[in-house]
Amino acid sequence: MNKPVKLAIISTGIAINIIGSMVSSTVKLPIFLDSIGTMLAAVLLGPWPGALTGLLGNIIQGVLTDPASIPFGVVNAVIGLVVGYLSLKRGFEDYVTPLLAGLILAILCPVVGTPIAVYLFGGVTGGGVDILYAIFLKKEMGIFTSAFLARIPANLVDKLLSAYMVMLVIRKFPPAMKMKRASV
Amino acid sequence: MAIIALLAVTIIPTWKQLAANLVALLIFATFTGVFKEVVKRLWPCASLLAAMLIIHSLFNPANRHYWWVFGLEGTLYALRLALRLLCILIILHYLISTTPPFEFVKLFNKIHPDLGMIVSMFLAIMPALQKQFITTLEIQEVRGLIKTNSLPARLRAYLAVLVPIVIHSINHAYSLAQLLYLRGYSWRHIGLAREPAKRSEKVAIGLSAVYLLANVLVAYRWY
Amino acid sequence: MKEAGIHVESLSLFYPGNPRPALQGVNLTVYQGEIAFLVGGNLSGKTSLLRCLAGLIPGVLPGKWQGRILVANKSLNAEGNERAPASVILQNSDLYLLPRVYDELALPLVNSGLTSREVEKRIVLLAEELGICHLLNRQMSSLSGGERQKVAFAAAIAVDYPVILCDEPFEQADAEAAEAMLSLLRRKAASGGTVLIATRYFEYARYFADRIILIRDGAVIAQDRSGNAEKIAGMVPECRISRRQRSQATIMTVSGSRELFFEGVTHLFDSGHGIKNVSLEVCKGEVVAIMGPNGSGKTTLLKHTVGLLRPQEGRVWLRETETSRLPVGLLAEKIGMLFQNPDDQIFNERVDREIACSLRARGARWNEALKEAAHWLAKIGQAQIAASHPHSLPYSLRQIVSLVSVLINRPEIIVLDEPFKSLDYRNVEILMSIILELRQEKDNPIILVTHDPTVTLLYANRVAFFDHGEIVLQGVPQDIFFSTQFRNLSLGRHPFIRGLLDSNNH
Repeated sequence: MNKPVKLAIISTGIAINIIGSMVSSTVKLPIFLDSIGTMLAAVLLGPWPGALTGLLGNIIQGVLTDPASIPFGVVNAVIGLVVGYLSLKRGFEDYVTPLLAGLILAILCPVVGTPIAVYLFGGVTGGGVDILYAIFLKKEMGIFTSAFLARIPANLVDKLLSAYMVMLVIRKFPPAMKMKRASV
Repeated sequence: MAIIALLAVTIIPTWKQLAANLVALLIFATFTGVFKEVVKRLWPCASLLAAMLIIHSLFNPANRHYWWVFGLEGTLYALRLALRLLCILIILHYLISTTPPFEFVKLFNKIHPDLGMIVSMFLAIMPALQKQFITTLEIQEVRGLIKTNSLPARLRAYLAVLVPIVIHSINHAYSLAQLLYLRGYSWRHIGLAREPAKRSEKVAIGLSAVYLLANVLVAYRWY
Repeated sequence: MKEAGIHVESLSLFYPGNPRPALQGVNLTVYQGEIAFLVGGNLSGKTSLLRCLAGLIPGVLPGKWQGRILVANKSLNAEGNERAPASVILQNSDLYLLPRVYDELALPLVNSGLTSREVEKRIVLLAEELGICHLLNRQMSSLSGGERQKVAFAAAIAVDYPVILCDEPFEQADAEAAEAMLSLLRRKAASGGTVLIATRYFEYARYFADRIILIRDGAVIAQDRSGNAEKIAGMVPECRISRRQRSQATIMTVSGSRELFFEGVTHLFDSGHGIKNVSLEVCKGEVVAIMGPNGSGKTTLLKHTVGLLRPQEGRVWLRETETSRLPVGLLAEKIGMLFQNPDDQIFNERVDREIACSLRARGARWNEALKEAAHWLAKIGQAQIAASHPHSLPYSLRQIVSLVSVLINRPEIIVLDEPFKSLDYRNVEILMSIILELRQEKDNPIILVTHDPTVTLLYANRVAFFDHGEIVLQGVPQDIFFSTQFRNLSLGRHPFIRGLLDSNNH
């Protein structure tokens, strides 16, 4: 494994995470799409460097601007692991793998994220998902279950879209770059 | 020291004690002159805190006693969470607003030099990537590709901006890797020599230890 | 007999996935104490050769080479991961690893095993030598392009290696900076160093080289002492515009109607850069070149044409219309703008789609847009690339793709923002002939920002020089380049201009 390439791509992945959500808010998309860099790094480098990208990204962002995002680094790390593992097994250029990744992550991310959110925020996000959360709560479903269920739809859309974005980007990679990918 | 303080806050069980802590922290922030800065940074969280209070007071399933429509249990629960969150955020924001970024790089460096390198490279990449973002946005705007009238159009606009940036940045990453190699990057890194703890740091650690101790005592009495 | 600093024997290089060699049977020798120039156009293999010499292939980049490479008497290994004993200046000087200047300079020194006190001493010495002491505590991102290049240069030579390799170092430097860099390299050579500079500009080699090596299609086609420069100059037309071509440059006097008019436009940024009270007319039939150092306001002016920036004071007129109220989209339909780097905009996986996108954005149907795109590609004789992946094409073809996606909208005015950067003269000629041929009307005006006086001389009717946000000199290129005022500008020392003056004195 080529260490300079690895380090450079991890830093770049962290930066792309931030730029991805910047672009998303510039063109007024209703979703965050803030894990594209993590997924890219995972596809290019494999699961563990991918997980490191996710974790470190949230820590750095937390340290620089928004500390509340630090604990959710664990969620981002899971994204890196799942995507990295899937792309090792199947590549990431067909239509099925991103679907798989999106579905798995739509369940797995809330599994990891909800306990953190419940402990820190009482399961509230301060966004549109809260309405759903309130409805589930009203049906006496318990805090954790409600927060978990409320998170799934938004996550499904976000993770599926992110995964397909990454697939498209990977496909649009110059063929020469794909070669490099194979050799790393 | 922040870690000690955080530990203190997370073990506190009652909202009364948390409120006292909040006041203490705010006074501390005022005396060290970063009160305004911290409050300014906290402002975006206001809606989140409000949502917490509203949702739990209205809908928390544990609500048994009601005062008009507000459930007492839920309100108390939310109040405790909100105060705890506020304390945590104040401590962290306090830390951020008093520490320049390169101090954090040093911290990462101590954990592992590769981590330090990743973080400093990220800090170096970010401004360049932001510039690239603006360039590409302008070009695609001139080409008429930035349209936000419908969702598919927005998705297309998103791709039109993101794809060139990502390809650029991955190319950039390979160039950075070349540079890293040429600069002879190995395990060593700048400022590895451990500086002895300064007096101010010792005082800070002492203070936070006292803070922890006081909180532990109060919490113990409650149990 | 002098000792060789760089010695290469029958070197061949293959990149993975490409059966054609990037380098083939390369033999060359550069002796200690020499500055050698490796001159070649786009895709000639000069960057690949430098990568092999630096150990980047196979150290960081994939690729397999065979043959023998000696750098400062050290034999490089085609398999290993060992660094060559050479300072390397990469082509893209906008590249840095660390946010702060001091750290950027310290990194290679620390890695070479010096203590922090030694590092500090070395940095102070280096900074004094290059005149960058005042920059040491600055953030890299706050530096100007020229300053950043100086820092990149300093960081590359911070550790004293016997061999120095530079890839296209003159691209971003103005004449003064280039001269400063060359005189430092000269000192290094004089103290026993070996310097190899890759460039696509023959004129630089003519004035600054001890040895000139010409490379094309991955093979060395000539190498000689610089005394014989004239003899081999004709072998690389892609790197040099001959006197005959220059004398064929069109001299036209234009008296068309006014198309675009900047009336006392001021736009100043917080940084103090920008333009101050600039007035400039562009008439039908004109090709106006805009030149000037980095940060002198050229791009700021161009952004006003399509409304990406709006004047703080003054007005921009498109014929009889004042443009400040018109949206970017509408202006951009009338004014076609080609940007510096095609990679900043290409996002489709097929060439024809990329081009059709521009039409689609203006409301055309997708099928018709694709047909039209194919038609335009056929017009320029590139029908076969329609289905290719843009990034599988050479850089110069990518720039042509983005050019066609501008022209296909049939703009009335064409604005070119340094589109020839990193292209050799053969490609410049191809691009310019496409623009000149495919303009909607033969007298649609063109505004061209360029660093290269040769391009100005060949294609422009009029040239305006910017400095610190103002137009300092304006007129017909042929007259301007020989004026005494011009010689006072730093561009007057550019080797092209020297070549121009020299050849006219003969």
